[in-house]
This record gives sequence, C-alpha cells and structure tokens, in this order.
Amino acid sequence: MLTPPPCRSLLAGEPLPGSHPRSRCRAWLSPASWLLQVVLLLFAGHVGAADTVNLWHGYRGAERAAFEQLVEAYNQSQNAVIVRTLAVPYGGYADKLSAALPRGQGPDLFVFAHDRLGGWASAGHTVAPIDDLVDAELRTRFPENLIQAMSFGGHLYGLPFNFKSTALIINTDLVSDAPQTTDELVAEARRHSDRNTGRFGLAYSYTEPFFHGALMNSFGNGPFDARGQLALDSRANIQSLEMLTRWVRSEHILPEEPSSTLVTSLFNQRRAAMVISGPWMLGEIAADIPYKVVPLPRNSDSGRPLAPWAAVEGLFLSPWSRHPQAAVDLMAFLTSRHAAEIMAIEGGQLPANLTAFEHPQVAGDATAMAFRAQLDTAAPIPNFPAMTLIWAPLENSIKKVVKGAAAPEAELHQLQRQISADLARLQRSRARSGADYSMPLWLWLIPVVLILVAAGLWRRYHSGLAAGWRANRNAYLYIAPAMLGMTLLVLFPLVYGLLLSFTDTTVFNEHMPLWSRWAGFDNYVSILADLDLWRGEGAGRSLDFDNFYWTLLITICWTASNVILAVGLALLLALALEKPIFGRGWFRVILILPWAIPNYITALVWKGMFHPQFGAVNQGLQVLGLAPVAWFDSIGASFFTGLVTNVWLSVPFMLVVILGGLQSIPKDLYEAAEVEGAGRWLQFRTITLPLLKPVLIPAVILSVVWTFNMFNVIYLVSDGAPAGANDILITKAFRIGFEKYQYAYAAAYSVVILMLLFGYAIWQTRVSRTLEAAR
Amino acid sequence: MNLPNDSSPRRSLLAGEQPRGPVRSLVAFACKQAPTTGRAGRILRDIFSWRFALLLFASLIVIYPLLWVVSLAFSGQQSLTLVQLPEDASLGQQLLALIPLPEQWNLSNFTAVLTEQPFLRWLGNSLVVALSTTLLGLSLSCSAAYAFSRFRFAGRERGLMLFLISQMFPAVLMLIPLYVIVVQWLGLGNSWLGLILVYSITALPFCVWMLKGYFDTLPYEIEESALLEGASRWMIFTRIILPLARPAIAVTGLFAFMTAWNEFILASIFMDDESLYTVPVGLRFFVSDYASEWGFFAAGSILVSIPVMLLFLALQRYLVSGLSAGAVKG
Repeated sequence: MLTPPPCRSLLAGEPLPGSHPRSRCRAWLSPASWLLQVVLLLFAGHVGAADTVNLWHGYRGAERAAFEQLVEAYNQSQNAVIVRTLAVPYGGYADKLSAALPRGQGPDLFVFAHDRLGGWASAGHTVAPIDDLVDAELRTRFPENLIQAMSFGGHLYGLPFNFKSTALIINTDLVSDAPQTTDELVAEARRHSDRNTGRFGLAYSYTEPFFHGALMNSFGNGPFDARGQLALDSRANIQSLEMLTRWVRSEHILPEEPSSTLVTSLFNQRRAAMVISGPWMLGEIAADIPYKVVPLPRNSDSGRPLAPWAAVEGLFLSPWSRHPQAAVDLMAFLTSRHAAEIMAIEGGQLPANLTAFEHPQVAGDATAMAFRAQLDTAAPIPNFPAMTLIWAPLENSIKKVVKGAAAPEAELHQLQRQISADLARLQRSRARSGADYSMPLWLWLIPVVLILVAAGLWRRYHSGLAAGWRANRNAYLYIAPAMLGMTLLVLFPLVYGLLLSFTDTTVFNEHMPLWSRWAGFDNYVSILADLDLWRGEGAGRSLDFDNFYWTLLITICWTASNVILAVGLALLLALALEKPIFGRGWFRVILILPWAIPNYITALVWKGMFHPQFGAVNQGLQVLGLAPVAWFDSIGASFFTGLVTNVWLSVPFMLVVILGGLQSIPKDLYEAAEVEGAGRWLQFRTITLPLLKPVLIPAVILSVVWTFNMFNVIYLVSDGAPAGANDILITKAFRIGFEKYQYAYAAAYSVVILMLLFGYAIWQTRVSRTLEAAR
Repeated sequence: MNLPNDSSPRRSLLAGEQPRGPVRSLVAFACKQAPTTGRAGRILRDIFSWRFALLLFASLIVIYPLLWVVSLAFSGQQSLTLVQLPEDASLGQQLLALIPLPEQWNLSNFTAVLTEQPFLRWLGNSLVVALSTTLLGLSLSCSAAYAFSRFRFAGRERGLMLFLISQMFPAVLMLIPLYVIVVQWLGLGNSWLGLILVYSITALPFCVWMLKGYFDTLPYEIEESALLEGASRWMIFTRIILPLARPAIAVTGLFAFMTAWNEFILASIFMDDESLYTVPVGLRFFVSDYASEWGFFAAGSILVSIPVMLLFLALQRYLVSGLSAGAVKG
C-alpha cells in the first residue's frame, strides 16, 4: 500500500490551474537569466587575474564614493594592473584580516587604523615593510608624527592616508565663546548642566580609552613611558582619572553610561551644549543645530593642551602580494596632493597629506581646519603590541572609577599588574618559540602508537566490523553524507581546538611548528587549579572576576535561571493559548516574533532600554513612583538585564515546543479526570506535566546547551559589566582569545566548556532514562 | 447541558481575579447572555478572562522593544529620540511619553537603504544561500534521521551524541579552523557553496534530533506492509515517510533557513566580492565603532525580517505540530 506523494502534479510540471504557461514563461525569463548567473556564481572560486591588485577598505557613504572614484582614476591612468576594491563592514573587518592574511590569503593592500601595527609586525606574516619601495621624497609628504605612527621597530609598514582625532564641538546657540582652558570648560559646562531635566554642559564617551586619551596625554605620556614601557599607574594617568572623576561625580557636567549614540542624541536635542567627538559625528548632527568645531582646550592643572589620540588610517602592504611595487605605486597615487584634495572635499576626510588643506575649498572650511589644527597637539595612538591589550581592561577600570567603585590610584595599580602579567605571558610564548626548532623524538611516538592501536583494534574486531557493515549497510549509507559533513566541518575544528589547547599558542608564535609550542597540560592547570577567588590585599582585596570558578558559577546561575524562567513562562503562556480564545491566532504570531527578528538588533534595543538615565525601564519606574536602578553598576542588576533580554528571546522557541506537546495529550484523559472530580491543579500535576516530559527533556537539553554558549546577549547587553563580573565562560574565552591574543588558553577554555556540557548531557539523559524506567 | 469546552472559560474567569464595578456587571451580563448572544458574548467573556490578560500583557512586553525598532526605522533619523518625561504631567501623559513613536513618519530610511547600496541584490543572494542551505540541510538530515529512527546498528547512540556535541563547542572559536578547511583546503572561499556547506552542517544537529523524534512517532505498520509488497527501503523513505513527515520537515527547514539567513561573521570572512555578500553582511555596514546609522540599520533589519515572518506565517500551522511530535521521543 503506497500513498502517492501529494505534490506529484507540481513536480511533473503540470501548469497550475488558472495560469497561462506562455505568459508565465516570458515573465520568468529575466529571473531565469539571473538564476543562471546565480548557478555560475555558486561554483565560482577565486576570480583573480594575474595582474589584479586587491584593495580592502572599510569606507562607506561619501568617503567611499570619493575613494572609489580615485581608484577608478588610477585604473584609467595606467595599464599595468587593475585595482579591485572590496568594502568590508567594520564588525567583520579585523576578523577577516586576521583570518586571511596569516594564511597567505587576502588582499594586496588594505586600509586600516594604525594602532594594530605593532601586533601585526611582531607576529609576522600580516604586513610587509615598504622601506625599500618608498623613496625619501614620498616620505616628506607626511608630517613626521604620522610617519612614526606607520613605523614599528625601525621599519615603515605603510603610508598614512587619513587621520581621525577628536575635537570640541560646540552648540553655538548655547555657547558663544570656545573655552580656552579646562577650568573655563567646566565653568561653562556647569551653566548648562541640570541632571534632573537631563541637560549636560559636556558629553562624550569618556569611559572609552580612545576618548580619555586626551586627558591622559595632557598630564603625561599616556599608557607608556618615554621608553615604551607600560606605565598605566604613572602619576599623570592617576591625575587624569582624578580629573575625570571630579567632572562626573562632583561637577555633574557629564551624563552617565555614555555611548556615541547617546552623545549624538543629546547634542541633537540641545541637551548637550558641548561634545567631544570626531569628524565621523558631523554627518549625524541635525540640520537645525548650529555648531562649530574648535581644538580642545588647555588643561588648567598641567598647563598643557588636551592631546586627543589620533587614529591614522594607513595603506598597508600584504606580505603575500605578488605586485608589491604596483601596490606601493597605488599608495603613492592615493596619497598624492590631488587625491588628498578629493578625499577631503568629496569624502569629507582629513587627509594625511596635509597639502590638501591648502586647497581654497578646504582652507575655507572652518570645520576641516579646526581638526587640522587639532592634529598639531594630537598624539597618534601608540602602536606597540601591548596597546591592543589595554583597550578593554582600561575601559573597565575607567567605568569602575567614575562610578565610585574604586579609587583611581588603586585601580590603576591593579590594572598595571594585570596587563603586565598578560604581556609577560605573550612574551614568554615568543621567547620559547625562538628557542628550539627541532621536533622532540617522543612526539613521533604519538602517531606511531595511534597507528599500532588502530591496527590492533582492527585485527581484533575486523570480522565483527565487517559483519556489522554487511548487516547495516543500508543504515550507514543513509547516514554517510551527514557524517562526512560533520567529520569535515565539526570534528576537524574540534580536534584542531583540542590540539591547540595543549600548546601555548599566542598571536606571536602562531607560525612556529606545533611541537615548539607544545605545553602539555599547562593551560588546563592554570585554568582549573587557580582556586584563589580573591586578589589584592587588605583594603584593595576584591573578588577576582577572571577566576575560572567565579565565571563558572555565573554561567551556571545564568543557564539555570534562563532555562527555568523560559520554560516556566512558556508553559504559562502555552496553557493560556491552548484552548480557543479571542485573538488566539494574533497572540500566537506576536509571541513568536522575537524569534524572527535578528537578535543582534533586539539585544541592542534592550541595552538602550536599560540605560540608567534615558532608558525606558528606569523612566517607567519613575512614572510608577519608584527609584531608578543603576542597571550596570552591580552584579545582580547587570545579571538581570541579560536575563530579561535572553528570556524574552528564548520564550518563543519553548512556547512552540510546549504548545505542540499540549496538543498531543489526549483530551479524554482530562475528561476522565473531571468525572472523577479532580481539580485543575491536580489535573495539571498528574496529567499535563508528566505527559509533557518527553517533549520538554530534549528541548531543555538543547536550550541548556544554547544558553550556556549564548554569546550575543551577554556581549551586547551587559558586556560582562561590572568589570567582567557577569561574563559567562564563552565570553571570557572570547576575550582571552581575541582581546588578549592567547589563542591556546582560549581553546583550553572551550574544551572545558565542551566537557562540562558533555557531562551535563550524559547526566540528563541518564536521569530521564531512570525516571522513565521508574514510571 | 453545556458542552465541556463551552463552560471552561467561564470557570477560569471565576477562578481568576474578580473584576469590580461596571466591569463586573458587564461580565455578569456577558456570561448570562453567552449561550444566547453567541459570538459577541464569547468574545466579551474571553476578553475578561485571566488567560486573555496574561496573553495581552505578554504581547505588550514582546512588542514594546520591537516598537523601538519600528519607530526608529520610520523616523527618518539615525539615532533614537531619547525618552524624557514631561514634568508636572499626569500619569497618563507620562505613560504616553514612554511609547516610542517617531515625531513624524518618514520612509527615507527605507529608500536610502534600498537605493544607496545593492540591498535587493544582497537579499536575493541571501535567499539563494538560505534556500540552498535548507535544501541541502534537509536532505542530509532527513536521510540521517531516518536511519537513526528505523535501523538498529552499532554506533547509533554515539552518532546521535556526536550531533549534540557539535553544538557544545563555542562557535566563535571554530572560525579559524573553518577558514582553513573551507578556504584553504576546499578552495571554496568567495563562493556561496562554501557558505551553504558550513550552514547546512551547522543546522544539521537540531534538524536530525527533531526529525528523528518525529519519524519515531510515525507508525511502523505502514512500512512493514509496504516491505511485504516488495517496496525498497528507498521507496518507503521517499514515498511514505517524507510525505507523512511534512510538518516536521517544514519546521526543521525553517530552522535551517534561519541559520543561514542571520549569519554574519562567516559570510563576511569568506566572501571577497561585494556583489556576493549576503544581507546580514550588508546590514553591518551601518554599524561601526565610531558612528552608527541606527536608522538605516533598523530599516534594514525590518526588511530582513519580513521574509522570515512571511515564512513563519505560512508555516504556522505546521510549527506547533511539527516540533512537538518531533520532540515526543527525541
């Protein structure tokens, strides 16, 4: 007895009733050609001709139009090479470069901020020096400090293209004279600040090190001393934090929890009289706001001008380029005076070739000239490898200090110790990798032993295996395609991660042979054996949020509370939705919505709603007559923000699962129970729950695994605030790998995560099996 | 005598919170009138039940954050207007101020998103990638799930566990090895085939688990009689099992589709040609560390969500039965 497949008529190509085959054909012609193109593209590999020069950049909008116009002009001007550009969105750019370049892939040259140069140059295989390809004349196009920004270890690695730094942007309706000193700035700002109505004299992303750099540099030398040694806890840096704390906590001239979005909104609504920001903000200032840009004032305490950090967008050369000379020629073209003028006039950029500012159209632009003037006091971000380690931890420290959770001095001492330790780890791996190149003999034993074991097993079991194969050939054939894919794309990365976790691989020794990086169980020992939950002594004693067991505790609380809440709420909603009710269809669609919309944006909306001053949650609390909560200041409140967001995101899945489960429960059971006089609660306990269990258990296992590894919500909403206390294991692993560049340590973390979840899954299936057996 | 399902809403109303004053008399009226006034009475009774209140409350919580996205997208601006409570206003006015509505409705964000970049082309690319992923993922998982469900063979339990394990290893750390395999070994960088392969395998574990559970619930007797009549395993699989499992296939297919539809990082790393980007990559152009065009991003997100929501609506009736029956013995 065979049931015919119902869609057979469609497959056989019979026309749908009521449609005219011929007209349909014509209408489908152009989609058909597009489809053909699609099929061709599907199988297209690299489309690189021999004389193509690939150029990656992150520009968009007007700057991108100007940039591509220049490249087009270059392609017209010569016949040797064709330049192809690729715009990469900011969020994936750094990852794309660090995936491609060290593996011999990627572009010939690329545009990127200069502050990663030291890391790339020390790691090798990512950028190539261009000293030999550049003549002295070309160097003189740029001011010395921008050339220095593009140099590391005595080599020049690229040409500066554009620069970006912050300056002071003033609402000229509110502030008539630009303040010349920080005392004037504070006095002016105080006149415009009123916390209760949400008005501030000054607004900027002061917790971000890039912005705080202006203060640090005006007191001293920034995060490094004159010899390039890490000096985060220098007197100057402490003073800079003390000044910022004064502005926030006693003068009240700055808003809480600043972000670039908040700063722009405040300025556009005339609630911020002055902001510190860069050229990137200009395009977002509302048309009806009169503003002017002026250089930052002088620091009244130190007598030196505030020196903002400048990010230099450089043109870098890939070490794998087959056309290095052509690439450098292109660099020379793009940084010529003519090109710089186009970038400035049409792209609204600040070109590193300063002759562009002599062009009458640029020279007459007060905004451009103000940023140009700011460059004289600005300091390029240090490009030491250690710099990349500083951003995230320094931001945490600044947040802690301005919230009054730590004193500037103690916090910076602590930070200095922590980053020195991270740095030492990286240095150690580099030193080791240089030392021994010969593969130790015992490593050969591993493959030999593996082969012997495999051969032994084969000898012993091969008759059984062969019989098993013959008996279940059908089954294995059905599974083979899926297993092949899994082996290739899941098992291999897993083994790779496992191997990596036994090494001391960091960004510096990634290219050394595996055996020279071998570190045995070191990573696991330092993760698992660190039982000291405290750090610091005496008054400075605090919980060490980087400790594995703290993070594990948070992760378990996170997973348990999420799954319990999601299951509970979904159960409640499913019970309400189970029987017909007015508007049931609509409710079902609405309640599933969070599943359909990319969680990236909804997570960010939730973060905005939890903003302590302008978020909808606190505003709602105030309407109800309750006190607002500082959501990201304490461990509990910050945990709550992530919890709410994630439950909101995960209820729909559970709801769908449970709704279906409820439907599969036979209705006559309830009727029988009713006849026997069982109440609703009793019915729920004795019928609904037990019969839901088989539906719930697989869903709960999957959702535990997913929640345990829920990266987006933690990263986007609370970002581990305060100070990494709310990081779960996966975000911690990410930070170790991508913010501290200790790849092997991150891999060991991942393996530990895997083991924990594996243990959980086995335990859960065993428990549910025993329960079933007992039933 | 009332039918059981007719009486239950009234009982639940009585068990729930007691409405007061005019509401009570209205409800009392509605309840009394229910059998005679029919539809209208039922609706009124529904509206005043605890179930309705709960659902309404939950829906409001679901919709509120989405309202921010919608209002931002239609505001024609790039950043959110901040909420600021009007001072000395009544409670109602203050609550009203909390509802995110743009000062004026404006489609400029949508037109800018659609015209200033090849957004429709990216949507088309995503559609091709996501549909191919669905197709490949489903064919791999259906056959594997069928084997797991209908054959007893050595390594069956371990195989199922292997699928689960693959969900446990943090995805962010698979990036480099995946790049090595797909781009360096297979040479599938800059082609959709690489993406489709990776996405199908990523969606595989969930699909196999759910489908296997659903296949388990299908009665074996049909297959036995077909076998007796001389049908091959393959025929049974394609002619009986697959048509019967359509609800589950629809749901797992939707899951595979979403896996491919929303993925950003791999797509941005593998693709070296802008005209080949998928739509999540295109969306991220609006967000950067310095300045983010949130208005464009919101408008783009809504455009991206529309196909998924349409799919949800189309598959709604499968959604409930497909997952549940699938999970019954998963």
